[in-house]
Amino acid sequence: MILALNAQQQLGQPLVLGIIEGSVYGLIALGLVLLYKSNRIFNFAQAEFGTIAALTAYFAYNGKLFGIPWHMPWLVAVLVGIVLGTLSAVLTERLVIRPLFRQPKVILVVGTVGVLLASIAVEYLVFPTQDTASLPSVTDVGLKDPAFRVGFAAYNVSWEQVLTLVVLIAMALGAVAFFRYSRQGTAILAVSQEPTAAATVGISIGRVSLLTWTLAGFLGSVAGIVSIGGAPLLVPGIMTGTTLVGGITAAVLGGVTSMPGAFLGGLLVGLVHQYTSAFFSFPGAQNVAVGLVLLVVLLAFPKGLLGSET
Amino acid sequence: MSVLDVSGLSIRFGGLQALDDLTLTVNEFEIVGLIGPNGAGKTTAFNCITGFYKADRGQVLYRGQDVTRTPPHKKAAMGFGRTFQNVGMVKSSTVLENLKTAQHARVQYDVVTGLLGGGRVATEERALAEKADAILEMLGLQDVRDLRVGGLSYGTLKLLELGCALATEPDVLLLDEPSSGMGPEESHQLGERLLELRRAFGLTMLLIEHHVPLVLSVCDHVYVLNFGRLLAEGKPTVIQTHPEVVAAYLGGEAPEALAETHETAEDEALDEATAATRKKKRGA
Amino acid sequence: MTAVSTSTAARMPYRLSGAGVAARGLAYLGLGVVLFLPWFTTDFSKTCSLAVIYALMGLSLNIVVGYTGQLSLGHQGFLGLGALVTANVVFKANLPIWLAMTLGVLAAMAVALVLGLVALRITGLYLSLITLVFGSAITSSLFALATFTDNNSGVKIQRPSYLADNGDWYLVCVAVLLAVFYLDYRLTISKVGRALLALKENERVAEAFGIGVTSYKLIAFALSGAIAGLAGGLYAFRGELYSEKDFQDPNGFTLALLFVVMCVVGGLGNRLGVVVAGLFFGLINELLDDFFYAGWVKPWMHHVPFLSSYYDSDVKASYLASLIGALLLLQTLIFNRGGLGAQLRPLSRWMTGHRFELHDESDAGIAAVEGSSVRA
Repeated sequence: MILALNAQQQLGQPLVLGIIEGSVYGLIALGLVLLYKSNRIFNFAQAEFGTIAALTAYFAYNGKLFGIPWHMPWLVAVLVGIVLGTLSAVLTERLVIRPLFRQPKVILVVGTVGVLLASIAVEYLVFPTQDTASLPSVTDVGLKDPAFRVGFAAYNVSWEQVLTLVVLIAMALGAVAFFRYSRQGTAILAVSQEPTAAATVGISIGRVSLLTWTLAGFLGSVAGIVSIGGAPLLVPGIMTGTTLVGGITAAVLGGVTSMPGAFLGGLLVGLVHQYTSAFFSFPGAQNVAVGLVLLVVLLAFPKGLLGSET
Repeated sequence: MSVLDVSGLSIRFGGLQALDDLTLTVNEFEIVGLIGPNGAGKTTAFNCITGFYKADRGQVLYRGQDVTRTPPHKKAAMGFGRTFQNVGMVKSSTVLENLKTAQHARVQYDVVTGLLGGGRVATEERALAEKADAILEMLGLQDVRDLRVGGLSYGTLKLLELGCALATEPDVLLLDEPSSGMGPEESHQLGERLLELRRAFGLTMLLIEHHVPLVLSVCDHVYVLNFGRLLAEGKPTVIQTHPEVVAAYLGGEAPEALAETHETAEDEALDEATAATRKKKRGA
Repeated sequence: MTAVSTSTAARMPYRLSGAGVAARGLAYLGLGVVLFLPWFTTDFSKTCSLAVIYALMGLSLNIVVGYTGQLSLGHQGFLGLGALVTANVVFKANLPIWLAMTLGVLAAMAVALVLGLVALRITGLYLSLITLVFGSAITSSLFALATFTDNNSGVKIQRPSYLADNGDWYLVCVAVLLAVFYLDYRLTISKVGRALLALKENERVAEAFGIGVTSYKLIAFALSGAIAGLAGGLYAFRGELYSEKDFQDPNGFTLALLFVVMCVVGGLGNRLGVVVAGLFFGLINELLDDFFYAGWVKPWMHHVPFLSSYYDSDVKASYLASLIGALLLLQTLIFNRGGLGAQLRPLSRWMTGHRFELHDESDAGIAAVEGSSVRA
């Protein structure tokens, strides 16, 4: 009886954990797919918007931000963090993407690489980062008890984890609806496929570009806030180090241009991670597993599992 | 023995049968034309013959040898020279560099020796440059020797591309619309040049062409392609008035096409009216 | 009939005068002296060794990115692999230094070939993703195995006694750099370099010219891996230590990205520019330290809001360096696509016996960068 339970737990726990972890990758992937749909490039700085948001929130809540001890209430600090993270995306769009708009895509990609490097550097210089311990989880406002217990996995799911999953689903649904039903969504697609034609019919390319990057920045910032809560250490570069590869894989698995695909891809990557670490214990097993998955998918399905160039 | 023997070549792209059972032969020292309306499958045929596309069915024989599945770079080494519709060269390099690159298959030293250097490499590199200069002189393009290819005019590029194809020391030349972008005078010069090249280098050629006078003056034999299928073949003069060929180009059924070449009463009336108006203008 | 540049037609072949030869000879001598100077120091020559290693990485990455047009974001993997293999064969089997470094080269070359095979099927943006993941995967798995890290304490090795001096090792590094530089030169003027450039721009045309795209892509990756592996061996002996933490994330991918920045700022496809950029980024930490702690700077820099945090911790030097790198990258991408290489071109042309001209008509460097594009 006990043995049977253990086996069930062994298979069940990674499932639950994988979905929870995967929801963060899904959020990053959503932002990546959004920018790929609009700019046809991969934004390597996408995850870092999250670090900026998280660091800002932490120091606004508990410490000094730009030299001033704000001690904001937690939710306000989170909001400030999201604003600042989104602002970094906007800055990226204005200073890097706009000037290079008509250049070959590889130039833009290298530009985002530069933004990633710069972001990490700025984080070190702006935030007194020796002092970061851990970010309080978003739900520290009082809901200490676990949300519910997943029986077959013998795992207590916390409210924070529920929130992450809810946020992801909401964002994913919102993104899909946005692109299908709103005028701005169609405009974004138009600009990405035929910028000259789009401009001819009166779509402001600059405004569309700004809108997409603001959205992407928002998605990345939210990902940072919900995923770092309770993490042992908050250092510059942490979101990129822990979620960028997973997010990119998720986006590719889902087909790079598919929002629902990004969402599913994220969950898949989370599952791969969890099941790998459950059954293999050599160092870096997770990264190797994800790498192999990415390789196999790209070799077999050059257009991703769900994607098509729309 | 024929140089090129294509039989039953067929290829399908999704729902479109781009080539359907194409059969053509190019004999030694012949200049063969491949004509047909846009979208007939001429460039597709070239791509299949040279190995850039894998045909679904059919066979390509080169001097009796089956080369249907041989990859393009090996075909180049065997003696297939080719030009492309949208000028195929390395745009960021200079003209000289392109001509040297084109001779790649003929370079004797291997990769490692090339990296290490030495007298043999230097001698061969000099030979490559000399050959390049010889081609430039033959085509009258010495002036652009050190200029970047990307900045040259279209007409120069087409001629240069021919030069690069020649640099591969070909046995058979496949030219894809060599006269595109050229006016009548230039086309005529090109025709003369092609004949001269055949004489000087003992070349065999297969041309995709739209320019009728060029085809007439240069080709020994013509194949007409339409919707991927062979419509007609024969001497250029015969093909020129072949009713189905004319119909394919002009659109319509064969008898109507023939009729269009005869003046009707309406046409005569129009000519008289036009002549009268001109007289009036000159008078006024 | 054709558009002809009259200046080319009128240009006479330029012949060097006796004074010209003498001047250039003096310039080369001066360069040699400057390169040799660090030999007299101990700590500074260690820093200079690192700068030379970065320059080698630049040359390595340049072959794949600049000459072949494939973006690699995982090159720290090859550097680390060279270091790992070199250090471990010395530590465990006590092999002589030259053999150890050769094995490092071979190991890196083998793995690079595998990546090259992948690159045959997957190109452009998707390939760059694979390289990013590759860098992460190999540094977190293979590099971290206890057996290769002497149970996570780092593999300690020693240079042979005749090279014990930091200055001596620096000279070895410089010698290797010069050798690889020459190899790169031979590459570009031989059929190999021409083949790579052709297939970078237009694979179909390359094949029509008789260039086997498969073979040459593999050659490019193999060569790039070999040079990086060599740099790795030099790195291991420079610090007389192999520590996997040097190559693991976040240091790892930051390093990989920095290498890419180096290549772009140096000018893609321009070997001199890439070497200078590499030297710059290798030295910049030292230079920044010297600047910020200089007697005339420290008193007032304390009060500058953003930069004063430099004094809080000495790990900051490398981050300010990467910020500078990012800014230079942006400047290069927007204003000066040919990078350092384009700026240095008048000088490099003069040094190789041409007339000193500020604007060169046959300038292919910038266009080479514009020509590349990422297909996903």
